[in-house]
Amino acid sequence: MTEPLLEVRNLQIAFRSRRNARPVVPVEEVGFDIAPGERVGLVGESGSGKSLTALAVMGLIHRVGGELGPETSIKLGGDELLAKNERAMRWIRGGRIAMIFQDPLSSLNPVLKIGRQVVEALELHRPDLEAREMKDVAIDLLDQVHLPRPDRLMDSHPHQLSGGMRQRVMIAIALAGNPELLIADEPTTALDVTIQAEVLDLLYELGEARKLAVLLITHDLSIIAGFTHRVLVMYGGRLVEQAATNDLYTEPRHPYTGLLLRSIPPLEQTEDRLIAITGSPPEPLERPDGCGFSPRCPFVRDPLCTTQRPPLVALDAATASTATSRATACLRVHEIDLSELAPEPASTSREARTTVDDDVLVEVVRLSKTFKVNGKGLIGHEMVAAVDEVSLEVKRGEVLGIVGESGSGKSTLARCMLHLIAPSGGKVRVEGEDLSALGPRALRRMRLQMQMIFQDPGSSLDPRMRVGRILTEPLRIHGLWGRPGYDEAALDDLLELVQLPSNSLDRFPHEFSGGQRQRIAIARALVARPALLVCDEPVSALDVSVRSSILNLLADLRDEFGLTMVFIAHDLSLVRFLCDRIGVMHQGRLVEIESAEELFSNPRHQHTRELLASQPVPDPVIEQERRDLRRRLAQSAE
Amino acid sequence: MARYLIGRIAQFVIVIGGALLITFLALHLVADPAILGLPVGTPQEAVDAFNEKHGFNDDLLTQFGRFLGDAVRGDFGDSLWLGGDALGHVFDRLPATLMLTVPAVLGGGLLGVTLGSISARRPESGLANGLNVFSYSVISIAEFWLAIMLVLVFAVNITWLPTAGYDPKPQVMILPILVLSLRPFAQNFQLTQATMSAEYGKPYVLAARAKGLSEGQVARRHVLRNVAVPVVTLLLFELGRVFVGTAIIVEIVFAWPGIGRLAANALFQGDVFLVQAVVVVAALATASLNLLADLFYFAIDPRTRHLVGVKER
Amino acid sequence: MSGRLLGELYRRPIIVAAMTVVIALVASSILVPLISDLDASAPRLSKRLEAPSWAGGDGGLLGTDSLGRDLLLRIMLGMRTSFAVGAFAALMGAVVGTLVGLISGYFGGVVDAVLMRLTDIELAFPGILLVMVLVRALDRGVIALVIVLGSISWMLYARVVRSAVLTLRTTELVTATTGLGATTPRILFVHVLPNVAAAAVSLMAVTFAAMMLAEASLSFIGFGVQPPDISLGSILSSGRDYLSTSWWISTFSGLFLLLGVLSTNLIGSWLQRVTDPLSIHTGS
Ligand code: SF4
Repeated sequence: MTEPLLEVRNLQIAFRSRRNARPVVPVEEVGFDIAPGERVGLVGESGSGKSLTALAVMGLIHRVGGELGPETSIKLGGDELLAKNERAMRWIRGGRIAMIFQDPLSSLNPVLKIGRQVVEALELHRPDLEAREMKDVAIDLLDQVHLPRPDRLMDSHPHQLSGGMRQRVMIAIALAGNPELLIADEPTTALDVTIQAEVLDLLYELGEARKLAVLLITHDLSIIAGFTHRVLVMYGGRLVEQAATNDLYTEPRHPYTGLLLRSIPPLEQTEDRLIAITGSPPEPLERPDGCGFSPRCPFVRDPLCTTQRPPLVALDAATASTATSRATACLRVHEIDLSELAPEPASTSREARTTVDDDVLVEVVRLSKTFKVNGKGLIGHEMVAAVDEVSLEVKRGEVLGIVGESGSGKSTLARCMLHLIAPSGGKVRVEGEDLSALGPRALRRMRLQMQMIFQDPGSSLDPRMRVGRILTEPLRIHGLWGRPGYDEAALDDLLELVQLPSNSLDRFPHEFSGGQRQRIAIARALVARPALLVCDEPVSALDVSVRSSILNLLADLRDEFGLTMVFIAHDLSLVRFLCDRIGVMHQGRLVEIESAEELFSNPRHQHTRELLASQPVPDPVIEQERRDLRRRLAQSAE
Repeated sequence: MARYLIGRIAQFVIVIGGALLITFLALHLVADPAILGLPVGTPQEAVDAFNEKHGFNDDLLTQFGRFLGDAVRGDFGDSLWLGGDALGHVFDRLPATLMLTVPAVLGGGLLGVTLGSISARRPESGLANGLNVFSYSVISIAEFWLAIMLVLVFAVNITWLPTAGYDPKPQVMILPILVLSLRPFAQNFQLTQATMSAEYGKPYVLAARAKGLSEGQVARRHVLRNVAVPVVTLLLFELGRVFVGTAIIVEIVFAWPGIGRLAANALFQGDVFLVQAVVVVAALATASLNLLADLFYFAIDPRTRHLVGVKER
Repeated sequence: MSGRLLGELYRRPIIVAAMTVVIALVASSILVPLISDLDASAPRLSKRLEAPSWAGGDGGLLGTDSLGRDLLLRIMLGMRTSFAVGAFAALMGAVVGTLVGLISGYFGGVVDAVLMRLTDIELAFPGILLVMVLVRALDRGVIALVIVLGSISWMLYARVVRSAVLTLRTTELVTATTGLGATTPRILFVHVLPNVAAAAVSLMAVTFAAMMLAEASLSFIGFGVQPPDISLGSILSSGRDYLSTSWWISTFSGLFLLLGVLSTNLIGSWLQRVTDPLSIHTGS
C-alpha cells in the first residue's frame, strides 16, 4: 500500500464567541486519508461541516474565526502541517494543496485582469520561472483548462467571462503551483448542468493526466458517482460513512446515506412517491446527544441511539484502521436492512389518480417577452427576447414540467403566464379568459384561480407577518376571510394537509426551517383553492434531505385534488417524477414539448439530448457511460 | 464609454443649473433684494431707484435669463457691500479657504483611511474599539464649540497660540486645520473600516489566501484596490463639504478671511450679487469634485466600462 | 422581535446609557423651566457673569451670562429648542422622504429619474450655504428653520428608503404578493412599508442628531433662532466675548449639546445595525 498523501486525524473545529459560554463545535472526530492521485468525494448538506473541513486542511480555519482541537493532526506526505509556521504554510497553500470554490465570480478579484491573477500564483509558487516566461506559462495553463483564445483572455476582467469560464480560470490558477492535492468546494453548484458536466469532466481528465489527488466537496450525491474512487459522507459535523464509490451506491450501510440515495427521483422510471427523510439537518448548536441522525432516523432505537455516540468503525472487523476501509457510524448497522425502506403511503387515502381531462385550462399563444439591455434611455440599447413566441396548452388536472438552464427564459415564462410581468406579445387564456384583456380589477380577481410558489420561500413570505396572517392575507385581499369555508377550521385543515405543526399560526416565518417555510408558501397558495398552481423551482433552495418530502406533498396535491400544475425546474429528475408532459426551454424558445415518457426515451432536440446526457445520476456505472457519451456528443458537434 | 461621459457631464450642467435656480428663486422670489440689501427705513424713492438700477423690476424670467447669460460669461455684477466685481472678491478669498481645507481633509482623511484599514484587520483590538468611540464622539461634536474650547485652552489659558486672525503661519493655522480635519478623519475611518471588513468576508479574499499570499499581500494587492472607490469618493465628497460647509463656521470663529466668512457677511449685508457669486463658485467646486469621484470610479473599476444592465427581470 | 431588541440592549450598556441621557435631557428641558421661578430673558444686572456656585460664584448651578440670567435655565430652554427643531425637521424629512422613496423605488421610471437628479443636486449643493440663503430669504424664525432643515433632509430618507425598496424588490415578496391579487396600494403600505420602515426610523435618530447640530451651528453664526427664542448655539456665541473670564457660558452650553447629539447618534447607529432588513431575512 502506498503512503497516503493526506492524513487527517481527529479533526475538531470549534468557534468561540462572546455570546455563548460553550464553544460551537461544527466538526468533530473527523479522520480520513487521501492517497496520491486519488479522487475522494466529501458529501454533506449545508451545516454538515464539509467546507470547514476543507479550510482546516488549507490551514485557513483561524481566518474564519475557528480553532482546531488539541488532538487534531493533519499530515501531508507524512509532515505534520499543524507544526508548520505561517511562512511554510503559505508555500504549501497553492503550492502543494490548491483549492477552488463554489462561486467562481466572487472568488476572482473583480478589479484585476485574469492574466494578472494567474501570474500572481506563478510568482508565488514557481521560483524556477523567469519573470518573462510567466506570461507564456500562464497562457499555457489557460490552454490546459480548454479556455478558448487564452492569449486574449489574459487581458480580460472576470465579469466579462461566463460562469463556466471563470471556474476554468480558477482551476488554471490552482494548477499554477503544480499541486499534489486539489480541493474543490462545490465547484459546480453555481453552474448549469451542461457546464457542470464539462467542468467535472475537465477535473477528471486533469486528475488522470497529472496524477492529481482531488477532494471534491458537494451536497449532491449524483455528481460524484462517476468521478471519485471513494466517498465520505458527513452529517452533523461527523463522518457517518466511508466507502469505495461503487460500494456506496450499490449498498449504502448508514441509514442517512441510504435514505439520501433513495430519495433522489430516478430518471429511468416514474414512481408514485419518494422516500422522504423527516425533519431537517441540525444546527451546530442544537445537535442531539447520541447519534446525530437519531431524530430523523427510521431505525432509531431508544435509548441506545439517543444516548450513545456511534463511532466510525470498520465494517470488516479484520481491518483495524478506519482511514480507508469501508466504515459506518451507526450503532445498529449489523441489525438493520436498508432495503426494507419504502416510501410512506400518502397521508390520506388516495384514489387512483383521475386521468387528465381533455379540457384545456391554460392556453398560451405565441407569448413573448423582451427586455432592454445595454444602457438606459432610447439610444444604444438592444432588445433581448427572454421568451420568444412560446405556445403551449395545459389541460385540466395535468402537470406540465418546464425545464431549462439559467437564462433559458423558464422563470420569465412562468411570470408572464400569470401576468405577474406584462408580456410583450402573445396571449394567455386561463379558463377561457384572455388575461391581457382583463382590467386590473378582473385580473386581481382572476388571481384566486392561479397561484404561484417561488424558489426562495424565505423571501416570498412577509418576514414581519405571523403565519396566520400570511395564510389569511389572500382571503383578506379578496374579502373572503370569515365566509363559510374560509375560517379558522379551514386553516387548521390546511396546516394538516401541508404537514405543519398546528401551533404554526402564531409564529413568524423565520422560526421555521427552509422546508417548512416552503410548506407555508404552498399552504398560502392553496388557501383560496386555485385551479392552477405554478411552481418556480420550489425545491432548489432546500437541503437535499428535505426536497423529497416537498415533492411528495406536491404529488399528493396533484393526485388528491387533481390540481393543475406548471412545474419549473432545471433538474430533469424532478420533472420526471412529477410531470405528465415536459417542455424544454432553450434561449427563450420552447424547443421540445412531449409526454414525459417519450421525452426521456426518445429526445429529439439536440439541447434535450445534451441536458439528458449532463443530468447527473447517482450511479457510478451510468455516470461512466455518460462521460463517454458526452465525449462523443462533443466530438460530433465539432 | 462616450455615452457615459456625455451623460455624466450633462448631469453636471443640470446640477449647477439647479443650484443657480434655487439660489435665484430664494433671493428674488421668496425674498426681496431691496429689503435684504437696504437698511430698514430707506425712503421709497431710494428703494425704487435701487430696484430700477439693478433691474429688479423686470419680471423674474427676464431677470433669470439675464443672470444666467451674465453668469456664463463670468459676470455676477458688482458687490453692493464691498463694491467692485463680486466674482473677483470670491476669488480673492479662495486661497485662504483652500489653505485650510485641503490640508485638513487630506491629512485627516488619509489618517482615517490608514487607521481604518488597521482596525479592519483587528476588529476586536483595543485600538479599534478606542478609535470607534473617538470617531462617534467626533461626529457628534459641534465644530464651533470645539474651536472655541481649543481657543480657550491653547490661546486663552496657556497662550501658546494666537486666538484668531489671518496670518498664513503654521501656529495660526494649526487650530483651524485641526478642527476641520476631525470630521473627515472620523468619516473616512468609519467607512474604511466598514468596507474593508465587508471586503475581507468575500470569497476572493479566501481564494487569495488559498493561493498562498501573505496577509500583507492580500491587503495590498487585493483588498485595498477594491475599497479604493468608496474611500476616494468620500474623500472628494468631504473636501467639497468642508470647503463650503464647516469652513464657514471655522472661518467665523477664527476670523479667517476665506469665502465662508465672505458668504456669511454677504448674506448679513443682503448683498444679492455677492451671495450669488459665492454660491456658484461653491456649487461648481462641489459638483466638480463629485464628477472627479465618478471618473475615478470609472477608471478603477473595470465593471463600469461594460455597463450591461438588464432592466427588468 | 421586541424580545430580540431587549436582548441586544442587555449586551450594550452604552446604548442603555445613551437612552437614559436622552430621556433625562428631554425631561429636564421640559421640567426645569416649569419648576424654576427665574425669568430666562429678564436681565439681572447685579448678577452679571457670576461663576457657578461650586466654583465659588453666586450664579447657581451653572453660573450666569453677561446679562445675569441663569445659565441652567437658559441651557434647558436651548435644549428644548434643539430637541423641537431636531424632532420636527427629522419628522418632516422622514414623512416626505419615505413616501417619495417608496414610490420612486417601487415604480421606477420618470419619478425615480427626477428624484435621483434632485438628490444629486442636493449632494452637489453647498448644504449649509443653501440653508443660510433660504433662512435669510424666509426671514429667519424657528418655523422657517424647521421647514428649511426638513426640506433638505427628506432626500436622504428618499435615497435610503428607495434602496431598501429596491433590495426588497429583488426578493420575491412583491411578486408573490402581486400574485395573491393584492392592489398596488396594499402591496406598498401593508407589505413593503413595514419592511422598510425600520431603515427610515433608524435614520430618523441619526438625522435628528444632525439637525440638532445644524440648528446650533446656524444659531451660532446668527442665521438660526433669534431672540427672544433661546438656542444653545446663540448662548455659546454670546459666551465667546467673555471666554477669558467667564468660561462656563460657552463650555456648558456646548457640553449639553454634545451630550444630546452623541447619545442620539449612538442610538441611531445602533438602531441601524439591529434593524437591518437583511438580518431579518436570514432569521436566527
Ligand atoms: S445509530 Fe441509531 S439513530 Fe443513528 S443511524 Fe444508526 S440506527 Fe439510526
